[in-house]
Amino acid sequence: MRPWSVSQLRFAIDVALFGLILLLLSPRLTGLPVHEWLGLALGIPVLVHLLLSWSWIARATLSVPVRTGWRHRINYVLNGLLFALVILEITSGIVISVVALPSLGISTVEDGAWRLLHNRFLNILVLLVGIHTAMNWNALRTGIRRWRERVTG
Amino acid sequence: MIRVARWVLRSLWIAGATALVVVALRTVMGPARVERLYRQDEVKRFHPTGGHGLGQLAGETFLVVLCAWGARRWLRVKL
Repeated sequence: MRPWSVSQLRFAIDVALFGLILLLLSPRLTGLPVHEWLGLALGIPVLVHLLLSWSWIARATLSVPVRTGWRHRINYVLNGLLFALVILEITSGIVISVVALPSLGISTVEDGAWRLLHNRFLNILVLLVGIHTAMNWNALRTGIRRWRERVTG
Repeated sequence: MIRVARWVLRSLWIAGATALVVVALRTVMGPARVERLYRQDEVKRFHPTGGHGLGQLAGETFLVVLCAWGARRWLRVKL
């Protein structure tokens, strides 16, 4: 079997990340303990996703303030918001953790205000994940095509 | 070696951006306090059940796909 190229690895990570986010949005399927551990683990694929997208991040950060169209500017802002929301969800999840952190010996307080924050921003996260998927639809389609070519030989 | 250093540096940039968001959140929300304690048993509330769980997964997947489809169709979002 051929080794994975960077684009194939990126596609596999993105699909895994998408699946993980869908699982995290369904705590009634996983139960709270698995939800919390998956939430903690989410940081790893997010980090890898960002590292593999670094060339775009660096290029866009330099070019967006000075010379790009509005589509790229909006995309950049949406990606920034998505990043902030993911961090918000992970952080608030850590603060109100009732299973994962206590099992590591770290005591937490199940604060109602942090819980409200955690729950309220989920809907915006769903919206932004959808728009992010739409923005990168062509890349996603290319990834699926390449994956099918790889599987079928 | 240079390549590893580059990845570490990039990870540090991401950690810095993460720290900015966390500090902003902590400043706005303050530390978790016992006075605002949430009293429901969330472990019991989210006890996994096949029917409800799969329903929730299908519902959330539908919402994400709907947002993506709507963004492409009506907002004409693409790069």
